[in-house]
Amino acid sequence: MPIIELNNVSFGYDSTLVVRGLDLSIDEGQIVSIMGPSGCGKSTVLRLISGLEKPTSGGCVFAGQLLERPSALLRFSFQDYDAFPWRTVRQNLLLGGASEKGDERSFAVDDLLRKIGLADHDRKYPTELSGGMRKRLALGRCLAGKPRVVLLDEPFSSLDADARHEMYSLLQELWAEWHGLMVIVTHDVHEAVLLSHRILVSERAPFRTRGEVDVLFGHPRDESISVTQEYLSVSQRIRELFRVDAR
Amino acid sequence: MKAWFLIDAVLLGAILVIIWLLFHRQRLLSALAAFSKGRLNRGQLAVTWIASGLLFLTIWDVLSRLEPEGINKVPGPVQTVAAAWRLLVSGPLIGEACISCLRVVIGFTAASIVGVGLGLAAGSFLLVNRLVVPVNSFLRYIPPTAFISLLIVYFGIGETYKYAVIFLGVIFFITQMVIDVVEDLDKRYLELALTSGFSNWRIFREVVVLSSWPRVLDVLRINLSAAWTFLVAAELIGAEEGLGHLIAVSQRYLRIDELYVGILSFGVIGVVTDRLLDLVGRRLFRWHYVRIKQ
Repeated sequence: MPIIELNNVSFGYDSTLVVRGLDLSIDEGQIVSIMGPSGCGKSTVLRLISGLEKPTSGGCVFAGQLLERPSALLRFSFQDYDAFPWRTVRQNLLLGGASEKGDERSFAVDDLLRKIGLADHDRKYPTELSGGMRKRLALGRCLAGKPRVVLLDEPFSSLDADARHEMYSLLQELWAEWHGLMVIVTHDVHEAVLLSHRILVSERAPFRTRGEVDVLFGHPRDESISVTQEYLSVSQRIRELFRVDAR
Repeated sequence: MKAWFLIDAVLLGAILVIIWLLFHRQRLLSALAAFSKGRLNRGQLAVTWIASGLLFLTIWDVLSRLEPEGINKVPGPVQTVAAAWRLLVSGPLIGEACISCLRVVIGFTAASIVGVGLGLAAGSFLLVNRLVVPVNSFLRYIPPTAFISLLIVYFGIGETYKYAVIFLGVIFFITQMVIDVVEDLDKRYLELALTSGFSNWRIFREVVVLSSWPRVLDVLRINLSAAWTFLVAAELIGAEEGLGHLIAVSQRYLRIDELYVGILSFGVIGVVTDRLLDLVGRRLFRWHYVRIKQ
């Protein structure tokens, strides 16, 4: 049974239609990437899934229930701001772990801090961390308290190549252990193929799925897949979906 | 007289030369202050403070020796320091300053507690906003000194009256400025809180209040200087103690140097309390200052 369902969802600001009649169904336990031309409404779709925006028409369903407001079970990692700056790294993770209580929550945070490599920085404020560390904190914050869905809006766009590759490995490690649904908005074809089970490509605005591609590699994946025939054909298929717009 | 002018001129020239020697290599003289401030090291900062003080004293000294017609004697810095020393050692300066400080602490603390509480609530909750903002805007436009006569009628000229003048002088401004701070809050943090499953009350405590503190402290620093203004207004009328009273008495007996000491004492107390609040803010809200530095 799908955990996320968008039924004929439309959304617009004033007179501009951003999403038009979108039907989408996503199962648990996978990583899904949403791609499309700039300004096509990818981030808006993510906000609709999270409950931060209400559809103008149609409905968003989460775990079989109509989504009325944001929930701690649907975590969102925003593009530019990843944690509360007035809270330390540890406190940010504790604030996320709403489902556990007392000592249990503290142990879970210790464990998470180790996994994201910030155990030695737990008393620092987010503003005292490097860009890569902040992204690791953002991932950790999203996964604290074991939500069912994590939504990532261009999570690694501000990082350099080395930091990105580090983050790809970390994300796959964390996902393998958690095994929930991750939805990623990205511009980067390589990133999408490397991380996702399923890739959706949109038309130009308003958002409407033009096509989708399944990636059948097992996880964890590394850079070595980029020389395989499967990788090349998947990338080619995605680029073709983009090119339809350019014509 | 001419010798003094010469000394002042040399002093002024020396200050300008020191500033020039220190900063001309870094092209800071022509740079905008806001951009160059962060590029000064501790030594340079100390020099700018000293140079700024010396500049003020020199200009004051020059003006005090001009003796323009129709204006009473202007005591120079040396005479004023001598009078301050006299008032410190054998006179009432410390006692009067302590009494004034106590009045400001009581009146200003009461206004801060009520104003910050109201401002945070009115900035966050629509119903409170609609109830508070129109009344507060109306009261904010009434000059606080206009309340003085009314307060004397109600409280006489005792201590309560002075606290009330300070309280009414700053509360409406603190409330409005705190509302502005909350309304300026980066809405993205509210979304971060919503997607972390926070309730409205938790968003108020965890996001609105905690993120606003550093700027609320700035609001309090600004309004503290206004509190001193209203204290003087209150003390000039019917006070028998306090710095305002010292000023009134000095004026009555034409002790101009002591009048200067009284006035400048406010500046000294103001700078000290401002630095203290700044230090407290940097200690308590390290995250905010780290962010500003970046």
